[in-house]
Amino acid sequence: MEPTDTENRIPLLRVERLSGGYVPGKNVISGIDFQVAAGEMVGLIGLNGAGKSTVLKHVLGLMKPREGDIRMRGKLLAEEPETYRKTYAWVPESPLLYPELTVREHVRLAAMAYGIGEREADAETRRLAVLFQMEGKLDTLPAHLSKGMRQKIMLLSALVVRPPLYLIDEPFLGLDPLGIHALLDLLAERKREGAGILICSHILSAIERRCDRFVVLHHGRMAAAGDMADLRARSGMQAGSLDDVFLALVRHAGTGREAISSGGTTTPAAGGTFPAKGAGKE
Amino acid sequence: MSADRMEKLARERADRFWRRIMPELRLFGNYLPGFFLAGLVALFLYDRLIGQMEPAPWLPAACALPVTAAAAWVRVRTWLQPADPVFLMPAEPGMGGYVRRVMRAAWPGQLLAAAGTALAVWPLFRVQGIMTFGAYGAVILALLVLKTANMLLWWREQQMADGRIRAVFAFARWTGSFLSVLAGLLHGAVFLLMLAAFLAAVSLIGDRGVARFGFNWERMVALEQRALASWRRFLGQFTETETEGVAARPNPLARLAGFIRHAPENAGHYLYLLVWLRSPLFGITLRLTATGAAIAAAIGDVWLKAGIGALFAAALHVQLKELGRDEGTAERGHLLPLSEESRRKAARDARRAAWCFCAALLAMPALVAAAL
Repeated sequence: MEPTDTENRIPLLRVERLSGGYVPGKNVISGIDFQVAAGEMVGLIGLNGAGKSTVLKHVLGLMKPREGDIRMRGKLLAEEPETYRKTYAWVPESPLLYPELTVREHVRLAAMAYGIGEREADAETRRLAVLFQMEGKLDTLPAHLSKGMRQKIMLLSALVVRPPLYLIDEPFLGLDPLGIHALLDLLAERKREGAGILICSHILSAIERRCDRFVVLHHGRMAAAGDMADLRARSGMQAGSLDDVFLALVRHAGTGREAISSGGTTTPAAGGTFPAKGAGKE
Repeated sequence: MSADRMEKLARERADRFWRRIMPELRLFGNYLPGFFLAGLVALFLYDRLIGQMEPAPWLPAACALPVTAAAAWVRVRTWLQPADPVFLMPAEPGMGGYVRRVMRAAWPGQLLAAAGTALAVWPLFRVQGIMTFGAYGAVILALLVLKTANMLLWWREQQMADGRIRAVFAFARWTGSFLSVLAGLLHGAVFLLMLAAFLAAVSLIGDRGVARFGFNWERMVALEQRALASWRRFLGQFTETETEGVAARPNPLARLAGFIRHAPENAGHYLYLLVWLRSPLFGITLRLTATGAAIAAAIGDVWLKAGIGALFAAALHVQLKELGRDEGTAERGHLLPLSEESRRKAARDARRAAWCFCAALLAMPALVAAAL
């Protein structure tokens, strides 16, 4: 179903003043505020334990926000759970597979769940399997595949269904160089077609040139947000790579733990919100 | 790490294991009256079978088969965990001593199982003409040393890295055991005692070599995982036991899932049909249905046939609850845009379809007997 003009103007994903955590009274993330529009790729970056996966868990509905809202195409999960869930495809950091289903069956199951036609799904599966060097493994059970190949099953399943939004957590772990190259090309292709992508990765060099914007998390807060020029300006490194800029930002942000563990405010530590492409049209 | 410290670690792990499966074992205990009843029925049928049998040329081979299985089948719990090769690799020189201890710990249980099997097959020996107390003593003695030799050879076999060589070695071990048992049954107690003396010598030499055979960590961890999975499968026959993590198996029937119409409302059915067909649950369903139907068919009374059918149908109902049990809460459930309710409904439909099919098979002996 093609989105209407109104839907096109609403960001695919809008995270507003999000705070949440695992233990009562102790927020792991606080004051997270960003959005992903159609046709843009946003990189969610941070050190280990910065809160990237926790943000994703909130977006997926695995955790309930203590403060703030998460909207998919303007709708909360509680309002329209089916629409909310059909808006995105999630690629988790560790493959979550059914041991009883082969590669082909995983992809077919995803296509069925998202309402993708059988022929269309079969053709796309074959094309993607060639790109990811999986054409000889389509009828293999996950137990007989390497870690990288299992990750490819998750990627195939997400790419076949062509959702409006991709939520991708550490996709490069275990992937071979050809697989990484194929994935980045496919994500660029999907972006051109109008899909939004939220990607978490530690391989900053791989996403530097592909992402339109970045959200830098540090100790559960937004240390900075914006495009590459914004991050360079904030870090004071005008010619720096994303690696350099990121290191400068997190070193500058310090620990910041105290404010969060005391319950947390919704004010970002630095950087604050940033507008998505086309947000001005709202 | 010395063998003593490794043994202490293994003891702690064993304690944890037994504590963890204790609730399932208690539930399993609830079925004991049922097992007792089934045992009595089996004994009655076995006695009738023995009464009708005449000595035959194939009978020694038939007797030798279960005894061979009891002698050649070996399972030793090493309590090794997947992370152990990383952390215990430096302790490899001390593992020989530890291995010797775990094998000694496994020995009484294995021997008891072998003696029990020999006792169960004893009425068949009687038909064959081997019936003196002395002959039984010789059988047990020969079995004791045959079992010991098998355990040592099994250990050597498991240290071989190449799976094909391991398979050839295992085949040779089983064939040798079968021929030894068969020759013993054909040639009587004196031959059995000579065989026992020969095997005792082999075992003594083998026991000295155990520590020198090296240590195939990967294989040992895999065997331990298999032992854990078999416990889960065993308890899963009687109680609602977690089967997550037990390896999926290929099943040609999985092609049936291809006939499910490609539509969002059928995604759950597609998923649970495949999960059922390839998980250990399918084997459990088959075994319970086949055993129940066979027992019901062997019994003459129609009401007893119906009762046995109902008992097995109830056991199947408990087993099939495993299908889709965790889907509502697992992180995996958030991968696809399928609501929790639709998943539950699909799992319930798959369970019902499987149960109805098996229940119909279990009811068949009673229905046929009633119709005749």
